Amino acid sequence: MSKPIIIDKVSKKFSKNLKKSMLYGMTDIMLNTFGINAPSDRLRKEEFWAVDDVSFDVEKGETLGLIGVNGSGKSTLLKMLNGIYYPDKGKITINGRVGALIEVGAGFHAMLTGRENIYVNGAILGMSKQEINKKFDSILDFADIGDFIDMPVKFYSSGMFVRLGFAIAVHVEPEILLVDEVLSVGDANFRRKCINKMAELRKQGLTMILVSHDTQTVQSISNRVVVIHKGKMQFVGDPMEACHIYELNTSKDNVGEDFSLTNKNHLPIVMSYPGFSSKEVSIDEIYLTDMNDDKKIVYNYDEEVTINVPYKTESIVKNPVIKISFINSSGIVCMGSVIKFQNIKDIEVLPNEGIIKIKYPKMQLNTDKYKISFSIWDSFHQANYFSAHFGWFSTKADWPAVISGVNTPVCYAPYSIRLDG
Amino acid sequence: MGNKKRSKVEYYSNLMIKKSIPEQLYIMMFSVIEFKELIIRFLRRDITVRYKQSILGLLWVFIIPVISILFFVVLNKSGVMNLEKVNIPYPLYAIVGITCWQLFSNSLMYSINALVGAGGMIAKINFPKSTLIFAAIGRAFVEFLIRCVMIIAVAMYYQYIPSWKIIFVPLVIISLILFSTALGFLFSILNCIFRDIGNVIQLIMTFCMFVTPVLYPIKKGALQILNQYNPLNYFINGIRDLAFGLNTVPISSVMIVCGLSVLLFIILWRLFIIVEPRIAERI
Repeated sequence: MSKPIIIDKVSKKFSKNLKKSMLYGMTDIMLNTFGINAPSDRLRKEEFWAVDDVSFDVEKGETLGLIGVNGSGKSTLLKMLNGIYYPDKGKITINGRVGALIEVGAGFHAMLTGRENIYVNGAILGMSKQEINKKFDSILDFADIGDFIDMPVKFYSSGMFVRLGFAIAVHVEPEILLVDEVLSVGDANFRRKCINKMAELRKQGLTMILVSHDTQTVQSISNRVVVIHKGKMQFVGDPMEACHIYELNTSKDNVGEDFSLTNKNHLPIVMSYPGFSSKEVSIDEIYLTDMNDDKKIVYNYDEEVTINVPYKTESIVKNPVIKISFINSSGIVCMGSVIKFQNIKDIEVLPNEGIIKIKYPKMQLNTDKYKISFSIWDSFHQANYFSAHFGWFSTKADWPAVISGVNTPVCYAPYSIRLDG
Repeated sequence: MGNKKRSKVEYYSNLMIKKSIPEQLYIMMFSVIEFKELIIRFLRRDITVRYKQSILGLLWVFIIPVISILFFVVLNKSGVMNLEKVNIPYPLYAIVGITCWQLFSNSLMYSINALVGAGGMIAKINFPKSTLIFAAIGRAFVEFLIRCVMIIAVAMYYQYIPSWKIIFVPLVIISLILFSTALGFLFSILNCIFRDIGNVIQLIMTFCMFVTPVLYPIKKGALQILNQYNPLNYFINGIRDLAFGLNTVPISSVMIVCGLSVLLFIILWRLFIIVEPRIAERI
């Protein structure tokens, strides 16, 4: 059995200029009219690649998340999967009946009643009249709009509109479902209902591609996640790691054009206090390693984590105090340690250059993403040599339920410290 | 194209012209046969929506042709305009002419606006765009059928017995519909790119109605020479000749025009299918 979706080096270009777009559209149509292939593999003036050389496969029954910042090309990609746009380069192969929720209620006509729209929209999505008749009650039940079904949809609230649209789309019984950011409109109750419905369809072997900005939803229901950035595929794999990269993409200041997968395991500075510290110690980025000394950014709840801080100083710093704390995505400090060097026999001074390694045998941070607040002080907590926040890394629990939030406001996990270099 | 009942689909650039002509013909037929239900849904939707929020409702179908015919009758009677004599009662002559003309002009105008009007849907849902064109043509045809009731009423009022040749009229009407659909295919796509097309065609149509023998016969002058190359002259006069046993245009020419229309329809339908994938990205 072949894979439901095969995307092979797919690219799509668009024009930035409307008049140029009209001209190019006309040229392409003229060429095609006379049976000539329109040139599609190179850019003309004022064109750009909206999707650039993307390849991945989706397995049967898999749920694949597709995330990226605004304008990264994920919706264009989804429209190509649905056959609304055709790729300019590469090839997409689809095996199975596709249902798409690019925009809920896109085929609705404002003047028609909900009932009439169910039939029209159902037909657009490829359902026969008998099929719709058979599922009508189920659609009505799911949409939960009661007597309003015989009212023109222009009088519907936006919530009712979306509920009806979604209800029709999930009743098409697709083998492949493409969902584009549609859940964000409904209320909590409806979202829960949709997610339950998706879970039910997944159990029946539905393959799904989900586009969303909501990393929580993507993480909780995807098997794998693809990150798209500026039209290019940046990452494919573990949802947690993917969401992490996506978060980095959204914080523009720290991640420029050159952000590549090679330094993805490093935590850059996400916040600093200019003028606060004397800058006698300088630290550019830190990285985390697991028990095998491998760099990672996603850790299990009770995994061993070593925080590596490569530093440089102008002069030798004596008896420093290191303060380290972990701040979760809501900005709450979840755990912290104050490390006084004079209590540690082996290391009383920071030499000119080296790596501070702080090992937590069990960090026990709940599932969330965290930034690390790291600062170096003199022994009296008076002068600050360095202070910044580094971000981000994530933790996850091994058990199925996602536990989030703060377990203990500030707990001091056991640690050990040593200096390298 | 839609994905109904087709298990494996591939998408790549210039997809349609890389396919062979039989494959293209198959896709053309597929979009009609597999999606006939959708065409009917669109058709019903358009008709319902058009007359739903109006008091006179379907009466509007009659009002426009009746007013224009009355206008010409009054002009003729008062001597402002001197129309040439026709061998049948003038209202009957005019109503057949204008009904056929409106079948053509409405088919064209509805289909030109069909794609642009459904722009939001085209950009978000994948379905064969030709269904929109066929639904538009269907709507014009339904209105035509309703107007035919009016023709029968007028014919009965004048107690006019039609010629036996009337049995060939449906063939000419089908050709006329295919001719309008062909132009609809072409101009609807152009209208997606240049919105001017809709307005330009509207202008041309108004102009054309007066140079074509729709409401009055044209038997001499430059217009008569021009009309030798006007396919609509052959359609409209052909229908009237066959129905009333007149002899305005040679029947062989009508047959040639009908044949050419069928050919034009197939050529432009194929063109539509080929450039269809480009509609969504340019609309």
